[in-house]
Amino acid sequence: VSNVRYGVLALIIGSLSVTTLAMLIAVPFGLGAAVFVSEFCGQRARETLKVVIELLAAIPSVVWGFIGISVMNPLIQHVFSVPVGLNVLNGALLLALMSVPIIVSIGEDALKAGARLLPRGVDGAGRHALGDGAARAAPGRRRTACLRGVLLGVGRAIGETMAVLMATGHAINIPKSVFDPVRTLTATIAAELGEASSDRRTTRCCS
Amino acid sequence: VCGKKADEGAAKAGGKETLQDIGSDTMVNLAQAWAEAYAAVDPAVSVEVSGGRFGRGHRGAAERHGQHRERKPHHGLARDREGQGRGDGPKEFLVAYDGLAIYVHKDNPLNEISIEELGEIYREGGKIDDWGALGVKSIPGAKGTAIVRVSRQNNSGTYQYFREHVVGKTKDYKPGSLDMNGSKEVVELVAKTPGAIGYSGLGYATPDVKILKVAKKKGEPGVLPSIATVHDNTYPISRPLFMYTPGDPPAHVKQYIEWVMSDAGQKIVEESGYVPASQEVAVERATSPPGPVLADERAEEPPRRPPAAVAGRPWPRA
Repeated sequence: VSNVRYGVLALIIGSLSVTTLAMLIAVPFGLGAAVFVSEFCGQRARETLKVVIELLAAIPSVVWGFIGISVMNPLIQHVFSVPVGLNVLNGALLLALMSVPIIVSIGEDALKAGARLLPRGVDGAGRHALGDGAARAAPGRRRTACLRGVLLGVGRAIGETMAVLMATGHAINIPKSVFDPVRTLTATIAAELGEASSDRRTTRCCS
Repeated sequence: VCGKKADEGAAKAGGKETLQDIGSDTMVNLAQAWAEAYAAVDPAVSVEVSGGRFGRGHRGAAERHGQHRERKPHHGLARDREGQGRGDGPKEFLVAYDGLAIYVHKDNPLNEISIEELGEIYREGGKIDDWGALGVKSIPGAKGTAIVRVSRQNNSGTYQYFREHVVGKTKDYKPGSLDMNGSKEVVELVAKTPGAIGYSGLGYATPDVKILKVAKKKGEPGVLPSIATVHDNTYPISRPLFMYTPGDPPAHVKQYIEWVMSDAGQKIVEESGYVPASQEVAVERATSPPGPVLADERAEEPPRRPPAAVAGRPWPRA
């Protein structure tokens, strides 16, 4: 076959576009849910919600991918009047659904740890030191911990393979809108790993 | 042209001989139907089918046994490799033919398409991006008339074949097609997407998609893929499907291939929606209508009962 060309730009943009959109959806919901669970829920509701949310994190990505193809695809076609529902939006929604439990779980732990820190700091420094020292350190710690949750969510999203392979349409394409199909780096590796080389050694290196 | 690469390796396990059939996604349905039926023919041999891709099976045959593989013009992905051990290369057996069907959504009013038009749709720089250019003003249920191109991942034999025969050997596919990982996925996506067009083996037809008539040139009458039109070559995009063994096959593998090529094996080919390799079988059955393929005639086709050998398949034929 002649006319061989190489390029990875479309794939990088594919991965980034899906991940960015996923995070735009997941971070507000994830952190919001974390705050809700840790600050506004009673003890029983919190424990139940935590278990349910962590169960959500256990759903295999291939199942999400299947949901993307069979549920989201027709839904997106219908709701947004687009020709095909396997696109950036579909992949991003799935990734958001997959990342939210992680963000909630880590974020909630962080908020709880901060909450524990607060009274202790207050006690140690005396009642009127509420505005200083440890008490001020608490929100900072919460922030970093929340960021950790978000980054883990990003990690899950950008590294996700099966769901995006199934739901983004797997089309080499630089997207112009969220309704364009794309192909991500991970999905390409997964789809073409067997073809990576005639050399088994190289294939092993890749995997 | 390339279809299937099978690697028949033998291993004795508990008195039962195992035969590995590794191969392309194009033929996996057929290979499974054969394997199931063969269990009744020779219970002492168990046939293990692993579907996958063209490239995988090929590598199985060429590499696993360290065989030298000649690069043949019709093997898109053939790999050269230093030969060791047995001096003779893999043996090739023509076991069936396959019509490469062009699928569109069942509500698409289009009935016919030419190879040139297909090229314009799929080729990089091709001019057709809209159903309007093919005379389709609107598709019920579709939003707009943009053509959604459904293609295959680039290590698929079907991808290679379609590129060589429709897109053009020195041309690339137009970027932005939805590249599915299997023949079945193509048909499934087309069935769910009113504006879609896709290519896939005839054996993967379902009632939810429409198969277009294909004309060699614009203006010529289009032809539906069927056993008869594949055999007499009036259907322009069909291909032979091969099985390969590393060198001369051992006795039980040879027996299996002989059975595959016998009337019993070829009957399964037809039941699975592929086209039998031997003309006789085809001629003998030419009296019965071909398959439930067809674009405009589907309504007249009586529903068929699944044959026992392939019961459970979504749309068995014959």
